[in-house]
Amino acid sequence: MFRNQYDSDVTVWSPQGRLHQVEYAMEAVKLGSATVGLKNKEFAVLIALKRAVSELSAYQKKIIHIDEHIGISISGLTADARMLSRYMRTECLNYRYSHDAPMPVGRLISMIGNKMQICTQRYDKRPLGVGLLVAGYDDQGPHIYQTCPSANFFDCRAMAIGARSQSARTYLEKHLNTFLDCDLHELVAHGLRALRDTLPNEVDLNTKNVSIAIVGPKTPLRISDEAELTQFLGLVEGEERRGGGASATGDAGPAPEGEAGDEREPQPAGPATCPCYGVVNVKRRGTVPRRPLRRCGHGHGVSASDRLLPADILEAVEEVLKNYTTFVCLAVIADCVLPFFPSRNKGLVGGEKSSSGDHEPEDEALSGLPPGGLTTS
Amino acid sequence: MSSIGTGYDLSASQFSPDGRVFQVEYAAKAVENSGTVIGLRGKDGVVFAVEKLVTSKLYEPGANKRIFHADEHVGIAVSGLISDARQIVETARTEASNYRSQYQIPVPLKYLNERVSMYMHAYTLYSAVRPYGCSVVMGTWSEHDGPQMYMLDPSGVSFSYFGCAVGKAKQAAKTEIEKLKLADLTVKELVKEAARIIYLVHDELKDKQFELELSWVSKDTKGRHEMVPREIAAEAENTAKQALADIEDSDEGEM
Amino acid sequence: MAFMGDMMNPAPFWQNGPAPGAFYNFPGNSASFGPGSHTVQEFKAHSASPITTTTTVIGVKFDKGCVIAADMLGSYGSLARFRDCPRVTKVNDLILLGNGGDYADYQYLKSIIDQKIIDEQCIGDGLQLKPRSLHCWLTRVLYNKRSKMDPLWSNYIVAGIQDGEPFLGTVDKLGTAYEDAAIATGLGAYMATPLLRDAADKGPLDQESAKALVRKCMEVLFYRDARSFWRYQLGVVTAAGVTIDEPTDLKHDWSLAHMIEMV
Repeated sequence: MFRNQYDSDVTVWSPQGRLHQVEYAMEAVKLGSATVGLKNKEFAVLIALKRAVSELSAYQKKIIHIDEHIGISISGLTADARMLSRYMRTECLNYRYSHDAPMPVGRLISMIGNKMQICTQRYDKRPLGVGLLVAGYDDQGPHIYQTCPSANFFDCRAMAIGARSQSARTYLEKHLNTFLDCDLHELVAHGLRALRDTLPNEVDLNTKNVSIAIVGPKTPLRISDEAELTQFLGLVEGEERRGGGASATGDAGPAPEGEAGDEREPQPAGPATCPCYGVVNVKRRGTVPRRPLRRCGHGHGVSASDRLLPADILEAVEEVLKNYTTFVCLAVIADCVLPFFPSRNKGLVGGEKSSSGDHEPEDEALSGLPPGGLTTS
Repeated sequence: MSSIGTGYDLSASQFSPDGRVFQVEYAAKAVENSGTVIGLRGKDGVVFAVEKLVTSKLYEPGANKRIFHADEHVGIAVSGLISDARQIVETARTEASNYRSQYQIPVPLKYLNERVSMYMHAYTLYSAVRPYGCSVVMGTWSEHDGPQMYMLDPSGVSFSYFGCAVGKAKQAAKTEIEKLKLADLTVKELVKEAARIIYLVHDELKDKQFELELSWVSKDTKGRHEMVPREIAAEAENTAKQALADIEDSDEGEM
Repeated sequence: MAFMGDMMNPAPFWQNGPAPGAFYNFPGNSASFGPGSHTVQEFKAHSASPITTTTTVIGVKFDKGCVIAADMLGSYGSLARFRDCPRVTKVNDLILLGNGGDYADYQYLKSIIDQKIIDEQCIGDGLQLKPRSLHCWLTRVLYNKRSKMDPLWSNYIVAGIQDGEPFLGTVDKLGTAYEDAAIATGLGAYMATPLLRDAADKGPLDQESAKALVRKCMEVLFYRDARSFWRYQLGVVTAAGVTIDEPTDLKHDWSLAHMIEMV
């Protein structure tokens, strides 16, 4: 059942010097829906994709108010995030009580880092299975920080975490240099586009499933109400979706036409029909093949003419594979590759499902959660 | 390593039949996968240089540092799991602060090292915790003791060094350091050497991007540990790049 | 092992009856040594007065900063015991701190503040403690101590630059805190405050006039306050940073003294 004998406890080092339990906890972040954080010279913005567990339930809250000048967006185990957010709120309050000033963002982050590290080193604890994007504003301007279950944290110019967030990061990297000088509206629009890239085609952003928070000079943290959301969403409405065609970087031939929200047929026009190609090869050699296999492990055929991987997909796959030297989780690869494939909705992740075409697409995309007591968001 | 996988390597509180504590050795492996860190102890101070691997373009340049201050006068450069290392730095700060409050003087590095080493060692004794996955290099300069530098391992072992290297390319870096006449060099010269060595040992194929971090503590800084000023660091970095380019040119010439 | 019960606190031998030793108590009986048999000391003595003290510290705002001054005498009761007690100090580039009251309490708190600054430098994020934050922090510390009926017996004046503007605030041993354009503690509160306020009310001061004003106050206080001294320190904080002058000696002239007659 275990992958290996070194992954049972957080107190066990593997012979390669890895902590498998911590690495597994990192996976929990990818179970949550995607969230994006970015900043310009003045403002820091969080944009999150919310999901509803069922049609009858409300959308899960993703952005949590910490203090007037700090907000977080979460991906992973919600309960763990709530614990962290309570701690952050307490620290901010205490700082205000004792120093009559807002807590400097970086200092709060390193406090969380130290707190989270404790549970990566003790037998009686487990790492927190949640990643945070922290947006804050202090004397040094706006900040976006990312925190991980490994207790690592990063000061970022922009960042995206959560399910299929690689596509968002690809977008952010591509436009990284424009963020600093754009105004707040453009910034939010960039964030929305990045977030939209993580979506399957049949889903689009709307006022129900998007949450936006803004913080800046003389702008206490504000989580947008519906009116403002509508306004922001209007900024990117009707634009051609990059995720709809893998052609944004140009290598994959003509992008499939079609506006977001179309009912779409599985399209033969995509660059290939199976998102798990290459993965089998990866497992064997630990490298990404420039040319994919003729046949993947699931028996999906790849026709000769479609064999060449588009460059941006390759990049996405490679990015993910950096973290997996010995073993690759198909779902993870699929996560980063899927958005590039218009015809993905045929259950391509699991091999046995490959022939059944009757999934409710939205279901799979937005609440394909593993069973278990801990809720993710 | 014939005992790997025999079940004697799963706990820090367990010896293997041939008398080794594998968990400690595995923790040291974590350090070997990390960016290279070197510490050079010269005539008038100590210089640290860190090859900080940058895994994403999205990170803020210059942030997420790997060199820390433990007190005004003590610098710590870390290699290995950064979150573990921050915990060690925090311990060092607490110890330095306690020493100050008791004796009203800056803690001598000898004692700080002793206390931090003991702390790291304690984590190699119990099954309920794991050893730290980081090595740290601590350095200082004082009028009384001159330059001092220690390197601490995950095992809790520490030694005083003239020059040390840890991380991915420690072997190559050590070879380079051994060529230097450390005792004759000033920190100003050492900064250049340190930058050159980091650029030299950096593996461009495996790790694309990296940032060079440089810090020093010396007579000139009045015994305060500081990041090397931007102009001096940039100059050292340029010299390093130039030196590297020269080597590559001559390599090509031979071919 | 559950049947063994709690070894440290065994159950009583019998119940519903008098406990052993309940009706008699022999001297030397072990029951009389037990933890419950003697009354716990509920009272604890705290310091109820300062020991080595310093007197007034005064501070005044001017257009671009603040001045603080205090003399250097440490008094042991009415004995002029120590003549070199500096109590105007630089905290960081933004804050100048002055103190009056129990000197040991000040030294204790000063070392904690110094460590706060070192901690901050260690973080290395370039942020510096601001005067309002230190003022607030001191208030919390002093108020907490007094609420435990164990006050730190001293007054503080925090002067500095808060986001480009001059800041001047004070806290006393009870945790009473306020900001003002002119502050004097101790006996100076009665004698220097009126002088300072008069001058400040006449219009904004510049650095030189503020310094002159403070020097005048130090002189008045020296003649009137029996716990004061002729050597004093004067510090200035502006956006350019903190400077503390070398200790200055007051020129004093007692030739008029014979004309003052105590009735």
